[in-house]
Amino acid sequence: MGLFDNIKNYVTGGAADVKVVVKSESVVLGSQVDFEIMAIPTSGTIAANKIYITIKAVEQSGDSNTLYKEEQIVDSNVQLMEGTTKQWNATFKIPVDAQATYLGQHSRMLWTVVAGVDMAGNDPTSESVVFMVNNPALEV
Amino acid sequence: MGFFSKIKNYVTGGAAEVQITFESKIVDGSNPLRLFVTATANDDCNIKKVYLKIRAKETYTEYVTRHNSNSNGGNTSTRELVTKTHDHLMQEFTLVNEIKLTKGQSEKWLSEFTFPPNSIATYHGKQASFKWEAIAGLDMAGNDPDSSWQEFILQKNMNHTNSIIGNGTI
Repeated sequence: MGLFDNIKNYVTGGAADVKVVVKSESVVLGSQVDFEIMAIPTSGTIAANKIYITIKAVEQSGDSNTLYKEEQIVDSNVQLMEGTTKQWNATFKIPVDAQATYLGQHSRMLWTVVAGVDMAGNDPTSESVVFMVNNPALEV
Repeated sequence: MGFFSKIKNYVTGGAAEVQITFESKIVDGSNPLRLFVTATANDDCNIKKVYLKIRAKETYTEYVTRHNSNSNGGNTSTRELVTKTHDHLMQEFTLVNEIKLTKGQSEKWLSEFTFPPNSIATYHGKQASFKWEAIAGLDMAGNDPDSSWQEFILQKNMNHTNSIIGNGTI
């Protein structure tokens, strides 16, 4: 791959394939959710400033309103070697006073996670992955 | 109280005070919701029935495009964010039929409501909400005295599946 392909990848964020997987099966407000992040460069070695995840709770009703957003740094100053998948684990605590996932007929509120590689040019990022957050069981 | 005061009470719905008291205002839906309806007569009341309504109401916003014609024969369109509501459930129960309450008399009824399967939990968002509410009223001549809508909270685990939202990515 030539110089111009590398430049294009930096601009479009295609310099690496990034994935994030939600490891926790059941997530409730106030509990921890575990993620696994994977990144593999698509063209050449990458010097990344940081590996991060962004967790958001977004309400969709007419407009999209971000009710909660937090970025967590998973790793920093890391070199990703071409052809080698690098993997990280991350844990995030859902605030107890946040909103649980809501799926109405005309509106909804979803929790999502995106992983990204902070580097020169556009950051390669994963797809936005939805995970479910439930209300804790009532103490009767 | 004179004749005209009674007429006023019938018209305004002030012939009785109606109250709802929830045994627990936060429920998980696994057991029936239990509530008490209390009516206290401010006047002699001939009541056809005492009723209880339960509703689950989604409030949301939606962009609506309005097309307008102006005086020059041209057309314009505007896009507005409009608040809308949708009742997912509206059920009425009759607690008692044909009852008389004399002035000062108070009566109390217990009612239970069983949640349908897959009931949606309460949600209070920024531009959207999902609320469970109850209202009790006395069906009688003139305006019905009622409790006004009272919210209770359904807090439960939702059985969300990926099929509802696609493959888990957006």
